[in-house]
Amino acid sequence: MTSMKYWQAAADALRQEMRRDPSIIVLGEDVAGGAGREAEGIVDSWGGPFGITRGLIKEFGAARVRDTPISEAGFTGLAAGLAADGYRPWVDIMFTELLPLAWEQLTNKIARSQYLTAGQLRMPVTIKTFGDCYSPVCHYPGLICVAPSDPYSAKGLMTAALRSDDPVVVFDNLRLLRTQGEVPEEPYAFPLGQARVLTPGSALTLLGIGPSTSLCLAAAADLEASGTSVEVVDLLTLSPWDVDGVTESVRKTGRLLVVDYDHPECGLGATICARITESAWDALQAPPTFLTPPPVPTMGMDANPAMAAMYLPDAGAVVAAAAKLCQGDDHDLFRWSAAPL
Amino acid sequence: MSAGDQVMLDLYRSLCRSREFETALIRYATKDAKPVGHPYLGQEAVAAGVCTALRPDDRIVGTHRAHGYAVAKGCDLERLALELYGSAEGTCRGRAGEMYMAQTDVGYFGGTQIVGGNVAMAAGLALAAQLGQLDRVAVSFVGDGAVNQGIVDEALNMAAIWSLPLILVVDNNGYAQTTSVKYATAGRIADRWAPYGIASVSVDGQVAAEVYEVAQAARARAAGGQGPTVIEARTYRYEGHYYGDRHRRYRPQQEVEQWLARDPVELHRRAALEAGLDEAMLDQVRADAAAQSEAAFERARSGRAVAPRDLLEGVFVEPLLRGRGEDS
Repeated sequence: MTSMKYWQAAADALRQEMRRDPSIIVLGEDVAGGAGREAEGIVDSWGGPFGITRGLIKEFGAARVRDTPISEAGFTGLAAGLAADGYRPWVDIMFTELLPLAWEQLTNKIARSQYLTAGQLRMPVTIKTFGDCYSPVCHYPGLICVAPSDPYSAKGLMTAALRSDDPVVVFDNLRLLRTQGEVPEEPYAFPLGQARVLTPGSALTLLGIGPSTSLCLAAAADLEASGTSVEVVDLLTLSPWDVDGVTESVRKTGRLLVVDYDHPECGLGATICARITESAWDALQAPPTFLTPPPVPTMGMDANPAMAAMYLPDAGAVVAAAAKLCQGDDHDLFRWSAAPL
Repeated sequence: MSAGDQVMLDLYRSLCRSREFETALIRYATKDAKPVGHPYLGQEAVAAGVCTALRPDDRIVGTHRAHGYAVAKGCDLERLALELYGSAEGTCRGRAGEMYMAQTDVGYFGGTQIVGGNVAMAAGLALAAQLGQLDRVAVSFVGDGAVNQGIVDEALNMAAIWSLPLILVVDNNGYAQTTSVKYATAGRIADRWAPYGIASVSVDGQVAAEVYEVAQAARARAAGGQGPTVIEARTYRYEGHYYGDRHRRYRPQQEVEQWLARDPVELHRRAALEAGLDEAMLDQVRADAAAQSEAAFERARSGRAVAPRDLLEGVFVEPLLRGRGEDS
């Protein structure tokens, strides 16, 4: 075990898998940085927006670590072609705000080709992006979506994505980038499609998605201190998500609160609650519910910390919602952390 | 038979397969209430000319107007007919229909609903050939309407900066659905990517032998590391944008007749006869293509229908079973 930051764990997975598998090709804007100027002594001048791909070009060369033009649709389609011919592209789409540019290729080519061609066109593509807007991607059958929540899961899920014969979209998060944790040095892969129980409990299941998992752990500590036994479950794979695992937890606790940083409408939190209402119906003590930001068209409010603080649920909001659920006071259960709109 | 005669014969075989297959498709599908889709009738010389210049393992991708490209690359007619009839015995188990059907073992990597949506994937197929240092090229067919989609520019730019072995063939049939290329497209298509340093050529798309020649040169450039080529092939579609588009009020009758007078199958037949090919042999090629097409659709009528398991299988290569276990 080594202590490392989240971004270092993700980078570690990519480097180890590239050593193991020569078919992995890294594509994206400035994944090396300063491309095409080797003759002037400029190599590896950036390493991606947060340094995750730094150093790869020196070890693996420009053929495998390829700076692309700013053409998200184009290089996502390029990845589809590489995958169809036996490569395993790893594609950096910096932020979820850029994903819509690649939407057509991601959905019509990468998500659908394997199924529509009855397995003739394989799409072992890893798309890596930063952001909370994962629900629209989870909508598409054929794509696997994952969201790590700490350095250990960052490495395990990135390795799993790179080894998967199916397309995987990895939702990293800037809030997690510099978090520190213990990570095994040797390669390991998390099982795709499986949630993990972080703390066992009996009265409430708090389900975290990516960065909201640390919020759930913080809230659980508060709730435990006041005598409520909380089970924190980390979803990890957002689609297809672990219905059996979450059901098992909720059948034990009788209550579910999903903490979801994405927009609320047609979102993952709502989907999970609907499914669990059916699968755990006879064991439920309260309606499954979810806590999200209010439905305002932000891009995470990173431009204004004061608004971001109002926008995102915090541990206090999770504790308050959890307390209401556990007291059976669910009629005016208030999903959003901000004041009513 | 001389090499030149062999090419003329191969081109005629390809033209006849395409013409007869779609003629049979229209006849059978109309009778059996099956979709005809987007016929390539009138444009056959473009795909025939290009695909005859390719090697079996060269990759092509098509568009929504997909039968023409699939047939020209050598897809199995019977399994294609089964696919179009929605049978589980089709090339793609009846899932893909016309627009997404692929047969990769003959180098046909599929069509798409999105008119310019396959060009970037073709660039990826070309990059795969380049990375593997293979004597292999990728061809992306599009229509004239597709040249106005941004992803085509994105893909060609990447192909140019990396000298990818990519050929973009623009089947310029004059119309994007009902909209004339003269209205919707600035400049000449063949000039559009010349400023990118991409070799660009415009060719008479009704003359298969001329298309073959420019495609052969483009293939040699691509495989020789000299980068991509754009081929604009000037052609015409006899049917509407799709088969149900029967009125076609957007095209003057005089224009239609002018193009019908330059039918690519007839033009090539005449050229082959002038080159000294035996008429009886040519007639036999056409009769064989007609018989194969007829047989393909007769077979399609008795194809096994899809069952619920055909719907649900194969969403993922590796189904995600909870507790599949850690893999390290």
